[in-house]
Amino acid sequence: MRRITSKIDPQSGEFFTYAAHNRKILAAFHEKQHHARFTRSERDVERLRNQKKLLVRERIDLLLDPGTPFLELSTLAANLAYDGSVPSAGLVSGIGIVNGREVMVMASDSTIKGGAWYPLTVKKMVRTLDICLENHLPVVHLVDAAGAFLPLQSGLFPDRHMAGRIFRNQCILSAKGIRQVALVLGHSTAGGAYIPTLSDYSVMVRGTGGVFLGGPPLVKAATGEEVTADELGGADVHSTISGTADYAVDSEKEGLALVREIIGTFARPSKMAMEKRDAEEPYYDPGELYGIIPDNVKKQFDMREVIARIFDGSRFHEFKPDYGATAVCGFAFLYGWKVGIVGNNGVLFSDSAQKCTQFMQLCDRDLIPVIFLQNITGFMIGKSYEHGGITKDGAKMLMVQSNLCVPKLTIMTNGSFGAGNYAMCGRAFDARFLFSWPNSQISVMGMEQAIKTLTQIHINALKRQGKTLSPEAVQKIKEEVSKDYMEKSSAYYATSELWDDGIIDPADTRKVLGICLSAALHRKINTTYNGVLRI
Amino acid sequence: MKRRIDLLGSHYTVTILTRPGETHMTVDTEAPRPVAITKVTDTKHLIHMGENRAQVQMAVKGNMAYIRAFDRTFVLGIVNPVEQAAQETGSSSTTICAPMPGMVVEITAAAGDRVAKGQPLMTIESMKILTVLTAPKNGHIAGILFNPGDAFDKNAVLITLAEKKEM
Amino acid sequence: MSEITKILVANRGEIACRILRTLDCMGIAGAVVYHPVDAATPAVKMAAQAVEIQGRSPVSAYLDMENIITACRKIGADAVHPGFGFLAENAGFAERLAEEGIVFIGPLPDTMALMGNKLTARAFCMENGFPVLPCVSEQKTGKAFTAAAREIGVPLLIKAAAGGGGKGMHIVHDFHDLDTAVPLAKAEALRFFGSNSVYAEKYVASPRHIEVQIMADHHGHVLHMGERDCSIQRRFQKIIEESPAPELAPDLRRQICDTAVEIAKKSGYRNAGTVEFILAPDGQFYFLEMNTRLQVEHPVTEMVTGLDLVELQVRAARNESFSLTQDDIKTNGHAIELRLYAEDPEKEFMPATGQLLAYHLPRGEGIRVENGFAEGMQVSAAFDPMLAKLIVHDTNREKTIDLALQALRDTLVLGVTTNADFLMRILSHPAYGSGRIHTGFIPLYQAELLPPPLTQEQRSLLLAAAALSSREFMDTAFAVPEPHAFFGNWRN
Repeated sequence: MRRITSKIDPQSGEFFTYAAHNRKILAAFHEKQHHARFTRSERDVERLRNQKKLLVRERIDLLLDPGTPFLELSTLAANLAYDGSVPSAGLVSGIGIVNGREVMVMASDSTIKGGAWYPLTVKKMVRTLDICLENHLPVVHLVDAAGAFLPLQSGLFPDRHMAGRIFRNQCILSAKGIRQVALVLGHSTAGGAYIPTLSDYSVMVRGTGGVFLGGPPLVKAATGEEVTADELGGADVHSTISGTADYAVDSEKEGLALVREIIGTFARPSKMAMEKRDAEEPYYDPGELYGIIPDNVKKQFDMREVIARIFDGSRFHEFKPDYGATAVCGFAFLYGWKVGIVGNNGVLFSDSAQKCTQFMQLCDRDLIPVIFLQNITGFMIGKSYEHGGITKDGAKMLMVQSNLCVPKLTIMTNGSFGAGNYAMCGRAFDARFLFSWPNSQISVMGMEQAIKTLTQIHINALKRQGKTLSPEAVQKIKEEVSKDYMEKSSAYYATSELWDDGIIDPADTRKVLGICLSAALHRKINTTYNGVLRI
Repeated sequence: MKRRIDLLGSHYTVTILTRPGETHMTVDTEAPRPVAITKVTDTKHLIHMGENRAQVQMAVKGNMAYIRAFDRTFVLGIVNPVEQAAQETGSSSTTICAPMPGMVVEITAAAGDRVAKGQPLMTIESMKILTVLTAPKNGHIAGILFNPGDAFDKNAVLITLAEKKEM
Repeated sequence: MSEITKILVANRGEIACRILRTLDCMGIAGAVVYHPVDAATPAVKMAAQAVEIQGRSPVSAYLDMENIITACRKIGADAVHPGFGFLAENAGFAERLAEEGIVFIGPLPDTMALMGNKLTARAFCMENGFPVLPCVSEQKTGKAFTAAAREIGVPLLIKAAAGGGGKGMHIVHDFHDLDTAVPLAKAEALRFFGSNSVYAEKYVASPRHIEVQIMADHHGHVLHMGERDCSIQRRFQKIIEESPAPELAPDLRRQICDTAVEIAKKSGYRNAGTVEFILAPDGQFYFLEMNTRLQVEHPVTEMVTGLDLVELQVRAARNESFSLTQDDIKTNGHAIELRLYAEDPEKEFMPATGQLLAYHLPRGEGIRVENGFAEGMQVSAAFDPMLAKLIVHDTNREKTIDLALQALRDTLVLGVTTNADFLMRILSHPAYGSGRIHTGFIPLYQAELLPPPLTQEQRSLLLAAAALSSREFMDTAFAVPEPHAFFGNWRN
């Protein structure tokens, strides 16, 4: 397969300008991420230490095989919610290796509000288990959560994708044969009590672990019965009397070792059969991505330059290279696995949409996972395009993309606006995983038109109230509107609301996609053998 | 994979990382080093470590490795992590409850005794079958709540254990 | 001459094999008894016939005389070779066999009773003017004891009369201490052995253990096969024996050997026996005890004399008259025996158990191996923890030590801790090399006999070997999948 010949000059002034710009963004991202992961009040840490508890990341380190990677998901969830007081939504989730098996780890962080569930915590938990359902990944629950955050209970309890969905997902996982192991490291009360109880294997730590539908204070209030937590639902009670748990251990360390042992007994997963070649590092340095992504979302760049810095050997077999030039389609290898790539090199026209559609059908028939590299402002508008059936061609793309059987992975590289987001497998289209680069923006339309439109709406409304506005007042409205719009279309807002599975360093894209593709292959799929339409 | 290996009374944390084509070993906090093993005969093996090489004679049984090298014979024990963690802790107090109703036949420990995990503490008779109850973990006997000849119900607390001897 | 056509070996392990080998050469059928735990041992495989015996424990099976007699009757054995240990020094057993008309290959029961008992043998030697350590008998008490003690002079050793194994012993270097040491020794004797009877003996510091191999027929021929030095001991048991004794003046050697022959003659000794002496640094030697049987270390004598002691034992038992004379017995070169024990020298020589995962014993010119085990066998705590004996023979002591080291280097025992490395360190010690040995050798050089500390590199190599050959580490069921295996502990 031919190697892409990069046209980037890493010595050029433009490269340096872009790199400087992107490194600044990256530094801010790393700082936010580090803060979300590690900044904790001494008091909270002290409290855990006094309870002989480990911090959540210490637990995860003991759980995972040494010297293996951990892909943490949605670290910056809730970073723009609750005044930033619930970093990572109080939950660590990610994919790691336990005794050679890829597993999803879902762990409460009890240094944050005792691990209480906020609406976004629940959203993150549901999404985490959705990933497991979609990809057939086993789950390790490290349970140490105080329960629902009562003041916000209406935002996390009743709806279809709220707390109940966690348990519903657990039940479905069980029925699909996707194994779940729970280690109870704290008191797991009310609904939370079902997490270990619905798991296939449940381990409890003596002393600190507890499982009860109603904790001691509730029991006292309801029936007057006085009972200690240990007598009510401690590890020995549940492992010897009630059978609610399967094992009792004396320490977190022992519990984690036991969880490892349990997972070690699982059969190794037989993954979706795919030819695998020897992996090859990209010919071009992924670090050069910083000098490729422009310093302004409106500036165009060639997606092939990105492809050259992610995939094996920078090799790319481009499909229909001379047709529909604003889309880039073709085959590449990711750690030896063949993948189809759909990328944007500009606005989608009918021909580029048709090319994407034909290519995706080809991938689906041949069981080739598809990776979407989004940098899309939308579909082309205007009379001749409508006459040419641009909406119809967009609908074809949505239709085929939505119904792909093969795994889909999406990366938000820069812009993601309007219907382009949909066509290129945005969040609503069930990409198995979706990650954003820290520079990326997402909104229903481009920032400038949107701000212009929104400002005008404000001014019109005020005018209808008979108010006249000074140019300063207009300017002020425009600033307020644009500040709000900018924040809400930023990658940070997207990730805060869990519209993605996390923000990643562009240079890590190859590794992230590798881990995600490997995870996705746990679920075997069958081809439908439809003929490929040359639409 | 990470395990504790015991050699000459010392404990070492040894991590082996295998990736296609190479294996690295890390001992405690030392720098990782590439390692390899070549089997020459049933017992004779060549060990490669960085630039270094040594021929050893070795036999492995269960978690024990018996190695003759440097004109000496060594015994190395690889410790199972669950057992290791259980050894290292022994935190909360715990109880030994009756698995079935029955009668105490014999008591082989006394309050205040230091007991090791697995040590027989009490023999009980139930349905004409003798069962030996053993210490579930290392610790001290806090109390033995029944005497030989006493009858008890299912789930009765027979013996309580504590981590430390209670004064 | 009594006819012996079938001999039952009432023993096990290496000595059973060793006896069977000679019987085979002599054309005599050899049989063994065995407890089921020994069913797979080489001795049982070698024997023409093997009779299973039972007992409350494996050891008690071999100690049960009736077991042996029943076995003899069952297979029609006309003689019993007791080997060493078990019933070998039991005069009652020899008497029982005589009653049954079965030949006991060893001395007469009366001689065994006399010379096999330390106290009576010692009294016998004193009466007959053989050198024994001056002592104050346990019969004396109070002032009489003290007076007799003064006569002997310091240093003195106070011992429990009923004791053994080093317990209840007190060394007195100054008479002022005698009054405190005696009550102390009495109190300890009472606690350990149930009797407060003590006696005092002249204390010899750093003595050598020299013993003489005796062989006598029933016709008054008493021969000696030279001496053995068995000074290298731990826990009062020999681990290295050699012949001839190093650094021993020819006159003294002759004196010791002649004394041994005289003692044997005087006691009417028959068959094989060993007279043990203590040799003080001043050249004085004293009778210690007599072993009325073949000894563990007899092969060193066989190596230097070229004689087969078991064959001579059988000949004597057959009532043959030895044509061999003392002048015919020449010693040639030097021989050393190394006792390979399943024990841990770094843990006070505690017996070790386990399965012999690898068990290779050396071979080659000048190397003789007496062995009762095979690879895969279990070494249990049921019997004495000796695995094998390596006997090496060369023209002089220096070469023999080199050969001994070579033999140990070629020895591979994995699965059970042995003293092989410890033996190498003794043999390599300069004091051993120069023949400056005595029974306090091991405690004296304790620190120098410790293994050298491991270098960090050696330690890492060992850990690597263990890890890389361990299922725990290398189980492919736990192999990290690709591409994760390439990432190390990467975190996003």
